[in-house]
Amino acid sequence: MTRSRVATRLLPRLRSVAVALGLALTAVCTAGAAAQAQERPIGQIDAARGVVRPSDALVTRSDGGPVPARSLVRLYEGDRITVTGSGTQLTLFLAGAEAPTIVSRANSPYVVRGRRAAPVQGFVSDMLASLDLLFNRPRMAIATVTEARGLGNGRQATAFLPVGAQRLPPGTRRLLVLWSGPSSVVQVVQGAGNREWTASLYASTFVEAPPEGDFQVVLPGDPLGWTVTRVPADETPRAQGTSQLGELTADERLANAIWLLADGGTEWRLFAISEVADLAQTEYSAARLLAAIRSGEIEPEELFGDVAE
Amino acid sequence: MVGERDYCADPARSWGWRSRGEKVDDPGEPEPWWKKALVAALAGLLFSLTMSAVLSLGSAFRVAPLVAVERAGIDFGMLAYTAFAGRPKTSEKEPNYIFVDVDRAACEAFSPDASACIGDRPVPPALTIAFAKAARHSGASVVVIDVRAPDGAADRADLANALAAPDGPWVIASLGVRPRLSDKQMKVVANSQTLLGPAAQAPLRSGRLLLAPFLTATDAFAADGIVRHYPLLEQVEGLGREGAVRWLPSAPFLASRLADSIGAGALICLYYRRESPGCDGVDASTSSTVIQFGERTDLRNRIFYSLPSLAAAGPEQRSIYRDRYLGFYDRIVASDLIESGTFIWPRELMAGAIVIFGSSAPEAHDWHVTPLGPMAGPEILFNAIRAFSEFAPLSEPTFTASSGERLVSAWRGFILKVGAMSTGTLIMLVGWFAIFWISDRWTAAPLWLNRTACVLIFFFSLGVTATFELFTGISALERNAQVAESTDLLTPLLALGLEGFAEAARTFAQASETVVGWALSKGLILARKAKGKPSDDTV
Repeated sequence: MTRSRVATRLLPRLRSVAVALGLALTAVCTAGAAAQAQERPIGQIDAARGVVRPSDALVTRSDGGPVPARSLVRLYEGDRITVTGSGTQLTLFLAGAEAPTIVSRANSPYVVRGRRAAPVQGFVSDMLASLDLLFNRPRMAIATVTEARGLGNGRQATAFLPVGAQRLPPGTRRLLVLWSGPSSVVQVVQGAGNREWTASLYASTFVEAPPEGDFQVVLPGDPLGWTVTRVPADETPRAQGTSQLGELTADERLANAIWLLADGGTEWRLFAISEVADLAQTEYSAARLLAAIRSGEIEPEELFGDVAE
Repeated sequence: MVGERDYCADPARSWGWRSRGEKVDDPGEPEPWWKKALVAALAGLLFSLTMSAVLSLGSAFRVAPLVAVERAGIDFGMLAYTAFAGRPKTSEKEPNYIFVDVDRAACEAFSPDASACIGDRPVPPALTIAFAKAARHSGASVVVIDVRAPDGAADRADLANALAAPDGPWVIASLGVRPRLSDKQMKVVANSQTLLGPAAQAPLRSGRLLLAPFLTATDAFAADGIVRHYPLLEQVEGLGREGAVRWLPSAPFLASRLADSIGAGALICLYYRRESPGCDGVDASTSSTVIQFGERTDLRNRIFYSLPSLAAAGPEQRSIYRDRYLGFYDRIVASDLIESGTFIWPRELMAGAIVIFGSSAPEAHDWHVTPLGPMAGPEILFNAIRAFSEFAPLSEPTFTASSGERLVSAWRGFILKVGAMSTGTLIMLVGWFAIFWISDRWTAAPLWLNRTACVLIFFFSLGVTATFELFTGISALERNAQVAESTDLLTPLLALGLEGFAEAARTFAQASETVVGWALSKGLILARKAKGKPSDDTV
């Protein structure tokens, strides 16, 4: 059989098989989407701003009367959203849409429609999303209490540093949080919605500070934790004897950190202890100091120079 | 082509055997292409059958390494199910699930002191009371309060009053139990004080409020700390007279039954008879619960995880899940439901839903490892509820199973695996036919095209087979879970893959040999031409 004969015989068959598969796929996807649309909502109002009166924004169902538009109202295929309030703005989540949909008086009335992607395109993107879900499983540390607790005997962690305000120069991201007591969770909270947390079986952990802005470091058990404020680099105090401008050497950084812990003011202790921990990776003296702090060999009072007080 | 090597795979020849004792040193009459294809496919099937038998027997008789392989396969199956097929069905019967996740903002809105929300009580009693009052008119079918009862007597009484309404949805709250003995049975002892009073005297039901134990256990034999089981019933001590034991349904099992309006009455009469005056004339022993689950009171109720963790998902995953599960399985942050210090939401939001009120905050210490990854406690409850209502606890031979029972279990597992593997092998057979047909009959094509086509068809067949296996496996997984059969999705794929990749490696080696041989001969010709010597072709 020559190549041309193979092409003549096989290609039309392959083409018809491909067309049949495509049609079947389209039919399955369309039927599935249609069936689902009848049963389940295809969207939701995520936020409703500027709604003064209930009549400012209404959702009219295809099979019922109007309902006031407010957050968490479900949206179904064919729903008609009418906005009459001048400052009213609705943010919609619609399945299949990549970005939120904004509805205001300018584009009112808005009719809710289902998936906008073509069936085959939707199927492919769905499959890719499924593969992503299969292979990118969420990873997180799980805090586990390993002490015998019993009822109402939840011993709490006690922070090494007193609670209160702390300051941090720009660029410092890795902070060491020390405490005594059981394993615990440390949270870094910035704003209302941005919260990171780290759990540790040991009485210390590193947390990642947000690159910019103020934030809180919270240790359950210590009521308030620390409110950390970023300050310009030139406002970071430096010990006498260290260079007052430019980068510090490793030895100068260690000396500065010890000075900050003892005499630099309470607001610089989180930064100072984190500096010691950072230097401990390469500097023997810093590593020994950190080990002594962690083991309790050096009490906080001794370290902070509060003994005389 | 006489005397030329067959570069496409020929298992019989490459292994050096045609049949027992007969070497293939003298090829003699070449075998027809279809016969070679059949041999290649049947070799794969034989391998699959052997693997199925070994794995099924090993699993039933608790051979640790094989049990671990099968367990990993079942875990992978559930993971694949949630990734590809965990979306809601179109059936109207299926309830929807709503997780009201108490966040810090909600906690602070109901705490006199913001610092109270940082400790180990991320859900203050006032918040639970406010939610319970609002949920009474929500139209939900069942509300599960996954929060520890307050320590103070006054707070407990207030919460009990709010939860124990005469109408509205069924409410399940924690009885408050500690583990007593965890071997074959789940034995627990009740705390001295329950939400409704002293454990020794107080009832376990008040109005629509029912107290149930929220306690699961990991499979000690898995030794990996993954929560795969949830008990249907638990033996509770400390209720009534000393030493008395009372069987109570676990919270998810109770929720799954209460969501079914027909089964709810029978279950309550079965386990809460003394607190339910209307049960005097009811014969609960014939209830569907007893018929469906019989005396399965042991710990070994492997649940079918079908819902992913929404709390653990990253932003992208959360977006995908929202796309798929909206209106079926939702996680709503509690502070989104609070306006001016009270809970308020559109009535349709929770109508008919099973609602769990809990917290995924790390302070709650309610995160666990599951086959799907990290999961907050309320989400495990959802999976257990769905497993008990839409699927069934997956059967496994118990510790005390007889050899006969184990053989029956092995046979069931073998049939399931063979079903999964044989279809894949049949698809591969089509691929083998194509490969050997091209290899033997498409002689007009250049050699490189012939070989390339062989390799491409092989990998295409393998890809199609693996995809088909995955999707039919997922479909079988759901079907089998409904009849309490666990499906190991990984080992059929693995077995198919092993066989396939052995062939792939062989084909790849042969193809490489062709390419290298061709390149060398061409290089030699070029070198000779460069030196002005005649090539072998011209000799």
